Amino acid sequence: MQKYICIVCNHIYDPALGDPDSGIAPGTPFDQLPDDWSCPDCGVTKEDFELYAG
Amino acid sequence: MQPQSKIVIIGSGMAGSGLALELAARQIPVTLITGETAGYYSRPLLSHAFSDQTTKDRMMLKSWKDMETAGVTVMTGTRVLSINREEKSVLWESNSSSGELPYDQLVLATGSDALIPGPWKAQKTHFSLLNSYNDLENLLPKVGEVQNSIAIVGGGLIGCEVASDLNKAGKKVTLFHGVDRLMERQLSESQSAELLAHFQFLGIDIRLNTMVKGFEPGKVLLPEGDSFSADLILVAVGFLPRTELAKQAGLETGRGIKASDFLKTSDDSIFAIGDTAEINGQIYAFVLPIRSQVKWLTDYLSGKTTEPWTPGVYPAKAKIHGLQLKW
Ligand SMILES: Cc1cc2nc3c(=O)[nH]c(=O)nc-3n(C[C@H](O)[C@H](O)[C@H](O)COP(=O)(O)OP(=O)(O)OC[C@H]3O[C@@H](n4cnc5c(N)ncnc54)[C@H](O)[C@@H]3O)c2cc1C
Ligand SMILES: [Zn+2]
Repeated sequence: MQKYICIVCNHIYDPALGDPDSGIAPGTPFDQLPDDWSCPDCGVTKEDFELYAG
Repeated sequence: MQPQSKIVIIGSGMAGSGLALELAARQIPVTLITGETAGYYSRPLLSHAFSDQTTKDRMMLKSWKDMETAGVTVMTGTRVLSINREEKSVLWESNSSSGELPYDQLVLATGSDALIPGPWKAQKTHFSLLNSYNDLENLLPKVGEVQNSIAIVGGGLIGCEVASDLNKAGKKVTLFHGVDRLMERQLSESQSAELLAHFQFLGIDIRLNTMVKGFEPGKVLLPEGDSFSADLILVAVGFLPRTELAKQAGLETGRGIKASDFLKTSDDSIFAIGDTAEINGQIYAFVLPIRSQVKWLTDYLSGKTTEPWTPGVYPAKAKIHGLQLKW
Protein backbone atom coordinates (compact mmCIF):
# COMPACT_ATOMS: atom_id res chain seq x y z
CA MET A 1 0.00 0.00 0.00
CA GLN A 2 1.14 3.54 -0.82
CA LYS A 3 2.71 5.73 1.83
CA TYR A 4 1.96 9.46 1.96
CA ILE A 5 4.10 12.31 3.28
CA CYS A 6 3.01 15.57 4.94
CA ILE A 7 4.36 18.57 3.01
CA VAL A 8 4.42 20.71 6.15
CA CYS A 9 6.33 18.45 8.54
CA ASN A 10 7.50 15.35 6.65
CA HIS A 11 5.34 13.02 8.72
CA ILE A 12 4.88 9.79 6.79
CA TYR A 13 1.53 8.02 6.85
CA ASP A 14 2.22 4.33 6.55
CA PRO A 15 -0.99 2.35 5.97
CA ALA A 16 0.64 -0.72 7.52
CA LEU A 17 0.87 1.16 10.83
CA GLY A 18 -2.28 3.29 10.57
CA ASP A 19 -2.61 5.97 13.24
CA PRO A 20 -3.77 4.18 16.39
CA ASP A 21 -3.64 7.38 18.49
CA SER A 22 -6.41 8.79 16.29
CA GLY A 23 -8.28 5.50 16.12
CA ILE A 24 -7.05 4.55 12.64
CA ALA A 25 -6.47 0.80 12.48
CA PRO A 26 -3.30 -0.65 10.91
CA GLY A 27 -4.02 -1.56 7.30
CA THR A 28 -6.11 1.54 6.51
CA PRO A 29 -5.18 2.91 3.08
CA PHE A 30 -4.60 6.66 2.86
CA ASP A 31 -7.65 7.33 0.70
CA GLN A 32 -9.87 5.64 3.27
CA LEU A 33 -8.84 7.99 6.07
CA PRO A 34 -11.79 10.12 7.23
CA ASP A 35 -11.85 13.70 5.89
CA ASP A 36 -11.37 15.13 9.36
CA TRP A 37 -8.22 13.08 9.95
CA SER A 38 -5.24 15.33 10.55
CA CYS A 39 -1.48 14.97 10.60
CA PRO A 40 -0.44 13.66 14.03
CA ASP A 41 2.64 15.90 14.02
CA CYS A 42 1.40 19.25 12.70
CA GLY A 43 -2.36 19.08 12.28
CA VAL A 44 -2.80 19.67 8.54
CA THR A 45 -5.50 17.82 6.65
CA LYS A 46 -5.20 15.08 4.00
CA GLU A 47 -5.01 17.76 1.31
CA ASP A 48 -1.48 18.61 2.39
CA PHE A 49 -0.18 15.08 1.99
CA GLU A 50 1.45 13.82 -1.18
CA LEU A 51 2.46 10.40 -2.42
CA TYR A 52 5.72 9.27 -0.84
CA ALA A 53 8.12 7.61 -3.19
CA GLY A 54 10.76 6.53 -0.63
CA MET B 1 3.09 36.57 -24.29
CA GLN B 2 2.19 38.90 -21.48
CA PRO B 3 5.15 40.11 -19.46
CA GLN B 4 5.00 38.33 -16.09
CA SER B 5 4.70 40.52 -13.06
CA LYS B 6 7.54 40.12 -10.62
CA ILE B 7 6.62 38.59 -7.29
CA VAL B 8 9.08 38.88 -4.42
CA ILE B 9 8.57 37.08 -1.10
CA ILE B 10 10.45 37.88 2.12
CA GLY B 11 10.81 34.95 4.51
CA SER B 12 11.20 31.19 4.01
CA GLY B 13 8.99 29.78 6.75
CA MET B 14 5.90 27.78 5.90
CA ALA B 15 4.18 30.97 4.75
CA GLY B 16 6.91 32.24 2.39
CA SER B 17 8.29 28.90 1.20
CA GLY B 18 4.82 27.45 0.96
CA LEU B 19 3.67 30.29 -1.27
CA ALA B 20 6.83 30.24 -3.39
CA LEU B 21 6.44 26.51 -4.06
CA GLU B 22 2.73 26.80 -4.91
CA LEU B 23 3.38 29.69 -7.31
CA ALA B 24 6.31 27.89 -8.92
CA ALA B 25 4.11 24.82 -9.40
CA ARG B 26 1.88 27.08 -11.51
CA GLN B 27 4.87 28.27 -13.54
CA ILE B 28 4.70 31.73 -11.97
CA PRO B 29 8.18 33.24 -11.52
CA VAL B 30 8.94 34.11 -7.93
CA THR B 31 11.96 35.25 -5.93
CA LEU B 32 12.30 34.28 -2.27
CA ILE B 33 14.60 36.28 -0.02
CA THR B 34 15.45 34.80 3.36
CA GLY B 35 17.81 35.39 6.24
CA GLU B 36 17.83 31.62 6.77
CA THR B 37 20.81 29.52 5.65
CA ALA B 38 20.03 25.90 6.53
CA GLY B 39 17.00 25.31 4.31
CA TYR B 40 13.21 25.32 4.54
CA TYR B 41 12.44 23.50 7.76
CA SER B 42 9.31 22.56 9.66
CA ARG B 43 9.04 24.84 12.65
CA PRO B 44 6.42 22.82 14.58
CA LEU B 45 8.92 19.98 14.89
CA LEU B 46 11.35 22.15 16.86
CA SER B 47 9.60 21.22 20.09
CA HIS B 48 10.00 17.51 19.35
CA ALA B 49 13.66 17.28 18.50
CA PHE B 50 15.06 16.40 21.93
CA SER B 51 13.65 12.93 22.52
CA ASP B 52 14.18 11.74 18.96
CA GLN B 53 17.57 12.27 17.35
CA THR B 54 16.15 11.83 13.86
CA THR B 55 13.78 14.80 14.13
CA LYS B 56 16.48 17.37 13.40
CA ASP B 57 17.15 15.85 9.98
CA ARG B 58 13.53 14.97 9.33
CA MET B 59 12.44 18.57 9.87
CA MET B 60 14.37 19.77 6.84
CA LEU B 61 11.54 19.90 4.30
CA LYS B 62 13.37 21.28 1.28
CA SER B 63 16.96 22.19 0.60
CA TRP B 64 17.57 25.43 -1.31
CA LYS B 65 18.53 23.26 -4.23
CA ASP B 66 15.14 21.50 -4.07
CA MET B 67 13.46 24.91 -4.10
CA GLU B 68 15.48 26.05 -7.13
CA THR B 69 14.65 22.81 -8.90
CA ALA B 70 10.98 23.45 -8.20
CA GLY B 71 11.37 26.77 -10.02
CA VAL B 72 11.86 29.24 -7.14
CA THR B 73 14.69 31.78 -7.30
CA VAL B 74 16.16 31.82 -3.78
CA MET B 75 18.41 34.38 -2.12
CA THR B 76 19.56 32.80 1.14
CA GLY B 77 21.48 34.26 4.06
CA THR B 78 20.08 37.55 2.80
CA ARG B 79 18.28 40.10 4.91
CA VAL B 80 15.94 42.71 3.57
CA LEU B 81 16.88 45.99 5.20
CA SER B 82 14.16 48.23 3.85
CA ILE B 83 11.33 48.57 1.38
CA ASN B 84 11.19 51.47 -1.06
CA ARG B 85 7.49 51.74 -1.84
CA GLU B 86 7.86 54.63 -4.28
CA GLU B 87 10.29 52.76 -6.49
CA LYS B 88 8.84 49.36 -5.63
CA SER B 89 12.09 47.75 -4.65
CA VAL B 90 13.67 46.16 -1.61
CA LEU B 91 17.15 46.80 -0.32
CA TRP B 92 18.91 43.56 0.63
CA GLU B 93 22.21 42.62 2.18
CA SER B 94 24.12 39.36 2.53
CA ASN B 95 27.56 38.62 3.95
CA SER B 96 29.19 39.16 0.61
CA SER B 97 27.08 41.75 -1.16
CA SER B 98 24.06 43.99 -1.21
CA GLY B 99 21.67 45.44 -3.75
CA GLU B 100 18.18 46.43 -4.73
CA LEU B 101 15.56 44.12 -6.14
CA PRO B 102 12.48 45.52 -7.87
CA TYR B 103 9.04 44.00 -7.35
CA ASP B 104 5.56 44.37 -8.75
CA GLN B 105 4.05 42.51 -5.84
CA LEU B 106 5.77 42.01 -2.52
CA VAL B 107 4.76 39.43 0.09
CA LEU B 108 5.84 39.92 3.69
CA ALA B 109 6.14 36.48 5.28
CA THR B 110 8.62 37.54 7.93
CA GLY B 111 7.17 35.42 10.72
CA SER B 112 7.69 35.99 14.40
CA ASP B 113 10.35 36.17 17.09
CA ALA B 114 10.06 34.61 20.52
CA LEU B 115 8.63 37.20 22.87
CA ILE B 116 10.99 38.51 25.53
CA PRO B 117 9.29 40.76 28.10
CA GLY B 118 11.05 44.13 28.38
CA PRO B 119 12.69 43.68 31.78
CA TRP B 120 14.22 40.34 30.70
CA LYS B 121 15.94 41.70 27.60
CA ALA B 122 19.01 42.75 29.57
CA GLN B 123 19.24 39.19 31.01
CA LYS B 124 19.07 37.50 27.63
CA THR B 125 22.38 35.68 28.05
CA HIS B 126 20.98 33.80 31.07
CA PHE B 127 18.28 31.90 29.19
CA SER B 128 17.61 30.17 25.85
CA LEU B 129 14.77 30.39 23.35
CA LEU B 130 13.35 27.88 20.90
CA ASN B 131 12.06 29.71 17.87
CA SER B 132 14.20 28.67 14.93
CA TYR B 133 16.44 25.95 13.56
CA ASN B 134 19.46 27.96 14.73
CA ASP B 135 18.04 28.04 18.25
CA LEU B 136 17.64 24.27 18.12
CA GLU B 137 21.23 23.76 16.95
CA ASN B 138 22.43 25.90 19.86
CA LEU B 139 20.20 24.12 22.35
CA LEU B 140 20.83 20.47 21.49
CA PRO B 141 24.40 20.32 22.84
CA LYS B 142 23.39 22.34 25.91
CA VAL B 143 20.57 19.90 26.66
CA GLY B 144 23.05 17.07 26.25
CA GLU B 145 25.28 18.61 28.92
CA VAL B 146 22.51 19.07 31.49
CA GLN B 147 23.40 17.21 34.70
CA ASN B 148 20.48 18.02 36.94
CA SER B 149 17.56 20.05 35.89
CA ILE B 150 16.02 22.17 33.18
CA ALA B 151 13.71 25.08 33.95
CA ILE B 152 11.03 26.06 31.46
CA VAL B 153 9.39 29.43 31.88
CA GLY B 154 5.93 29.53 30.30
CA GLY B 155 3.15 26.95 30.35
CA GLY B 156 1.65 27.76 26.97
CA LEU B 157 1.65 25.45 23.95
CA ILE B 158 5.38 25.55 23.27
CA GLY B 159 6.45 25.40 26.92
CA CYS B 160 4.25 22.34 27.50
CA GLU B 161 5.35 20.60 24.30
CA VAL B 162 9.01 21.09 25.13
CA ALA B 163 8.45 19.97 28.74
CA SER B 164 6.85 16.80 27.43
CA ASP B 165 9.68 16.16 24.97
CA LEU B 166 12.53 16.88 27.39
CA ASN B 167 10.87 14.62 29.93
CA LYS B 168 10.72 11.90 27.29
CA ALA B 169 14.40 12.52 26.63
CA GLY B 170 15.01 11.60 30.27
CA LYS B 171 15.57 15.12 31.63
CA LYS B 172 14.35 16.46 34.95
CA VAL B 173 12.04 19.34 34.07
CA THR B 174 10.51 22.10 36.19
CA LEU B 175 7.98 24.36 34.52
CA PHE B 176 6.91 27.79 35.81
CA HIS B 177 3.62 29.29 34.75
CA GLY B 178 2.19 32.63 35.87
CA VAL B 179 -1.47 31.65 36.02
CA ASP B 180 -3.46 28.87 37.66
CA ARG B 181 -3.67 26.41 34.77
CA LEU B 182 -1.63 25.17 31.80
CA MET B 183 -2.31 26.32 28.22
CA GLU B 184 -5.21 28.45 29.42
CA ARG B 185 -5.52 30.07 25.98
CA GLN B 186 -6.19 26.82 24.17
CA LEU B 187 -7.60 24.35 26.65
CA SER B 188 -10.78 24.05 28.70
CA GLU B 189 -10.33 23.91 32.46
CA SER B 190 -10.82 20.15 32.52
CA GLN B 191 -8.25 19.66 29.73
CA SER B 192 -5.76 21.81 31.65
CA ALA B 193 -6.35 19.63 34.68
CA GLU B 194 -5.85 16.50 32.59
CA LEU B 195 -2.56 17.85 31.25
CA LEU B 196 -1.39 18.78 34.74
CA ALA B 197 -2.17 15.29 36.05
CA HIS B 198 -0.38 13.73 33.08
CA PHE B 199 2.74 15.84 33.68
CA GLN B 200 2.73 15.17 37.40
CA PHE B 201 2.39 11.43 36.76
CA LEU B 202 5.48 11.66 34.54
CA GLY B 203 7.41 13.47 37.27
CA ILE B 204 7.45 16.90 35.65
CA ASP B 205 7.50 19.53 38.38
CA ILE B 206 4.79 22.09 37.54
CA ARG B 207 4.74 25.38 39.46
CA LEU B 208 1.51 27.21 38.70
CA ASN B 209 0.71 30.77 39.83
CA THR B 210 4.41 31.48 39.88
CA MET B 211 5.42 34.76 38.32
CA VAL B 212 9.07 34.60 37.37
CA LYS B 213 10.83 37.84 38.31
CA GLY B 214 13.99 37.55 36.26
CA PHE B 215 17.21 35.62 35.78
CA GLU B 216 20.75 35.33 36.99
CA PRO B 217 23.31 32.91 35.57
CA GLY B 218 21.89 29.41 36.25
CA LYS B 219 19.01 30.82 38.28
CA VAL B 220 15.34 31.62 37.84
CA LEU B 221 14.35 34.41 40.22
CA LEU B 222 11.01 33.85 41.94
CA PRO B 223 8.70 35.95 44.11
CA GLU B 224 9.65 36.75 47.71
CA GLY B 225 13.37 36.49 47.07
CA ASP B 226 13.24 32.78 46.23
CA SER B 227 15.17 31.33 43.33
CA PHE B 228 15.47 28.08 41.44
CA SER B 229 18.79 26.71 40.16
CA ALA B 230 18.88 25.02 36.78
CA ASP B 231 21.54 23.88 34.33
CA LEU B 232 19.48 25.22 31.48
CA ILE B 233 16.70 27.79 31.40
CA LEU B 234 14.30 27.96 28.48
CA VAL B 235 11.86 30.84 28.09
CA ALA B 236 8.67 30.30 26.07
CA VAL B 237 6.21 33.03 26.91
CA GLY B 238 4.77 33.91 23.53
CA PHE B 239 5.65 35.27 20.11
CA LEU B 240 6.13 38.65 18.53
CA PRO B 241 5.30 39.28 14.86
CA ARG B 242 8.23 40.83 12.97
CA THR B 243 6.79 44.16 11.95
CA GLU B 244 9.91 46.39 11.74
CA LEU B 245 10.26 46.35 7.95
CA ALA B 246 6.60 47.23 7.49
CA LYS B 247 6.71 49.89 10.15
CA GLN B 248 9.78 51.55 8.63
CA ALA B 249 8.08 51.55 5.26
CA GLY B 250 5.11 53.36 6.76
CA LEU B 251 2.67 50.47 6.47
CA GLU B 252 -0.02 50.18 9.10
CA THR B 253 0.93 47.88 11.95
CA GLY B 254 -0.68 46.80 15.18
CA ARG B 255 0.62 43.76 17.03
CA GLY B 256 1.24 42.38 13.53
CA ILE B 257 1.36 43.90 10.06
CA LYS B 258 -2.19 45.02 9.38
CA ALA B 259 -3.82 43.35 6.41
CA SER B 260 -7.26 43.24 4.86
CA ASP B 261 -9.24 40.14 4.00
CA PHE B 262 -7.40 40.26 0.67
CA LEU B 263 -4.26 39.79 2.79
CA LYS B 264 -3.18 43.23 1.56
CA THR B 265 -1.37 45.71 3.74
CA SER B 266 -2.17 49.41 3.55
CA ASP B 267 -0.12 49.38 0.30
CA ASP B 268 -2.00 47.72 -2.56
CA SER B 269 1.13 46.00 -3.91
CA ILE B 270 2.24 44.53 -0.59
CA PHE B 271 0.71 41.45 1.03
CA ALA B 272 1.28 39.97 4.49
CA ILE B 273 0.79 36.31 5.47
CA GLY B 274 1.70 33.94 8.27
CA ASP B 275 2.70 34.76 11.86
CA THR B 276 3.48 38.35 10.95
CA ALA B 277 0.07 39.21 9.51
CA GLU B 278 -2.75 40.74 11.50
CA ILE B 279 -5.77 40.13 9.31
CA ASN B 280 -8.76 42.21 10.29
CA GLY B 281 -7.37 42.43 13.79
CA GLN B 282 -6.58 38.75 14.12
CA ILE B 283 -3.22 36.96 14.02
CA TYR B 284 -3.38 33.34 12.87
CA ALA B 285 -0.10 31.91 14.10
CA PHE B 286 -0.42 28.23 13.35
CA VAL B 287 -0.14 25.82 10.50
CA LEU B 288 -3.70 25.32 9.26
CA PRO B 289 -4.74 28.95 8.72
CA ILE B 290 -1.33 29.73 7.24
CA ARG B 291 -1.74 26.90 4.71
CA SER B 292 -5.14 28.34 3.92
CA GLN B 293 -3.66 31.83 3.38
CA VAL B 294 -0.95 30.37 1.15
CA LYS B 295 -3.47 28.58 -1.03
CA TRP B 296 -5.75 31.59 -1.24
CA LEU B 297 -2.92 33.97 -2.16
CA THR B 298 -1.67 31.53 -4.80
CA ASP B 299 -5.14 31.57 -6.37
CA TYR B 300 -5.40 35.33 -6.06
CA LEU B 301 -1.99 36.08 -7.57
CA SER B 302 -2.60 33.65 -10.40
CA GLY B 303 -5.95 35.25 -11.16
CA LYS B 304 -8.01 32.26 -10.05
CA THR B 305 -10.05 34.08 -7.46
CA THR B 306 -11.30 37.60 -6.83
CA GLU B 307 -13.11 36.66 -3.62
CA PRO B 308 -11.50 37.59 -0.30
CA TRP B 309 -9.78 35.10 2.02
CA THR B 310 -12.19 33.82 4.62
CA PRO B 311 -10.88 32.23 7.78
CA GLY B 312 -12.34 28.82 8.57
CA VAL B 313 -12.56 26.77 11.71
CA TYR B 314 -9.14 25.35 12.48
CA PRO B 315 -8.93 22.41 14.83
CA ALA B 316 -5.58 22.14 16.57
CA LYS B 317 -3.80 19.77 18.89
CA ALA B 318 -0.86 19.78 21.22
CA LYS B 319 2.11 17.48 20.67
CA ILE B 320 2.23 15.99 24.16
CA HIS B 321 3.68 12.48 24.37
CA GLY B 322 1.10 10.00 25.56
CA LEU B 323 -1.86 12.39 25.69
CA GLN B 324 -4.36 13.50 23.04
CA LEU B 325 -5.30 17.15 23.50
CA LYS B 326 -7.45 18.79 20.84
CA TRP B 327 -9.34 22.03 20.65
C1 LIG C 1 8.54 25.42 18.85
C2 LIG C 1 7.32 25.70 18.00
C3 LIG C 1 6.34 24.71 17.87
C4 LIG C 1 5.19 24.95 17.10
N1 LIG C 1 4.27 23.94 16.97
C5 LIG C 1 3.17 24.14 16.21
C6 LIG C 1 2.22 23.09 16.00
O1 LIG C 1 2.35 21.98 16.53
N2 LIG C 1 1.15 23.33 15.21
C7 LIG C 1 0.95 24.55 14.63
O2 LIG C 1 -0.02 24.72 13.91
N3 LIG C 1 1.85 25.56 14.78
C8 LIG C 1 2.96 25.38 15.55
N4 LIG C 1 3.85 26.41 15.73
C9 LIG C 1 3.60 27.69 15.04
C10 LIG C 1 4.06 27.63 13.59
O3 LIG C 1 5.32 27.01 13.54
C11 LIG C 1 4.13 29.02 13.01
O4 LIG C 1 2.83 29.56 12.99
C12 LIG C 1 4.68 29.05 11.59
O5 LIG C 1 5.91 28.39 11.53
C13 LIG C 1 4.84 30.47 11.08
O6 LIG C 1 5.38 30.46 9.79
P1 LIG C 1 5.81 31.79 9.05
O7 LIG C 1 6.28 31.38 7.71
O8 LIG C 1 4.74 32.79 9.15
O9 LIG C 1 7.01 32.41 9.91
P2 LIG C 1 8.50 31.87 10.25
O10 LIG C 1 8.55 30.42 10.28
O11 LIG C 1 8.90 32.67 11.45
O12 LIG C 1 9.37 32.35 9.02
C14 LIG C 1 9.75 33.69 8.86
C15 LIG C 1 10.90 33.77 7.89
O13 LIG C 1 11.17 35.15 7.57
C16 LIG C 1 12.56 35.36 7.55
N5 LIG C 1 12.78 36.80 7.75
C17 LIG C 1 12.23 37.61 8.69
N6 LIG C 1 12.63 38.89 8.52
C18 LIG C 1 13.44 38.90 7.43
C19 LIG C 1 14.16 39.90 6.73
N7 LIG C 1 14.13 41.19 7.11
N8 LIG C 1 14.91 39.55 5.64
C20 LIG C 1 14.95 38.25 5.25
N9 LIG C 1 14.28 37.26 5.85
C21 LIG C 1 13.54 37.57 6.94
C22 LIG C 1 13.08 34.44 8.62
O14 LIG C 1 14.44 34.16 8.43
C23 LIG C 1 12.21 33.20 8.37
O15 LIG C 1 12.72 32.46 7.32
C24 LIG C 1 5.01 26.19 16.48
C25 LIG C 1 5.99 27.20 16.61
C26 LIG C 1 7.13 26.97 17.36
C27 LIG C 1 8.18 28.06 17.49
ZN1 LIG D 1 2.37 17.25 9.26
